[in-house]
Amino acid sequence: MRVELFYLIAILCLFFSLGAVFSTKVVTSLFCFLGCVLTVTLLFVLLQASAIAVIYMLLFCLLVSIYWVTAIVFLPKPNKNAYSKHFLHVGVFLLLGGWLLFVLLPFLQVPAFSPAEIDHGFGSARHLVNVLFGPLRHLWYALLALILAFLISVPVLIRDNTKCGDLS
Amino acid sequence: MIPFEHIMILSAAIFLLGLIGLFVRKDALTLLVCMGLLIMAVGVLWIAVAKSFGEMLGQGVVLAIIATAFVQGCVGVMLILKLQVHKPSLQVKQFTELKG
Repeated sequence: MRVELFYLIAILCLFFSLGAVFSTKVVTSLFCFLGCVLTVTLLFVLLQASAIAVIYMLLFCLLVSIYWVTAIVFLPKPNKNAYSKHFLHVGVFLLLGGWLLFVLLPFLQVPAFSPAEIDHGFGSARHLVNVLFGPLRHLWYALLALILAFLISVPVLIRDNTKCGDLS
Repeated sequence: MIPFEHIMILSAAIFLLGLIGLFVRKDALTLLVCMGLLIMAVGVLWIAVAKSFGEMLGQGVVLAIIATAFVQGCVGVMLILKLQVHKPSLQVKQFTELKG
């Protein structure tokens, strides 16, 4: 079942990728990209990376929404209202589809999709946090120091009025 | 058990599609989508490698890749909207000069 599901997701993902690349309308391309993001999210859950899947889905759905709004800005006036409605329909479709998926996934009897595996198994949020903030904590401290150094240096850079090449 | 080679083939196919799109397509938003596909392919490969080696650090790398991709997309959109003031078009061919 698990392998068959992988092939189904892979075919859907390739289909959506083809649509995203070769569709002539920007809005259709974005819709296909959204499908691609959702299928890859399922693939991540199937490959036991549920925490990454959730973060990926949230960030990329937000990104597609931003792309969509940008596309609407560029559309000619008569199409603008139609595509705004289209955007709302896709939002409702996504909410309903996501809810249905959430309800139906455990019934597929795939081990990676079981709530216990998603909550506590390999790749779950707990596991990821344990790994990232356990042995790698020094890396995070270094990163924090780097961000702080950047934040401190920004006001200095903004106040610096010297032009490029002017070192006198 | 999903064969690792098949995940690699899927990842390579998505990467190739994204690359073709980058060379073929001319409108800015589709170019951003193609870049998203490239990053998606790399993410899938990292997750597959992390799973096949039983190593969790690969997933940490994917987290960094996703964050970078999100920021890249936002910066891309910001640039498009900024350029819109000069020429209201999504065609990248129209933006051949980088005058300040």
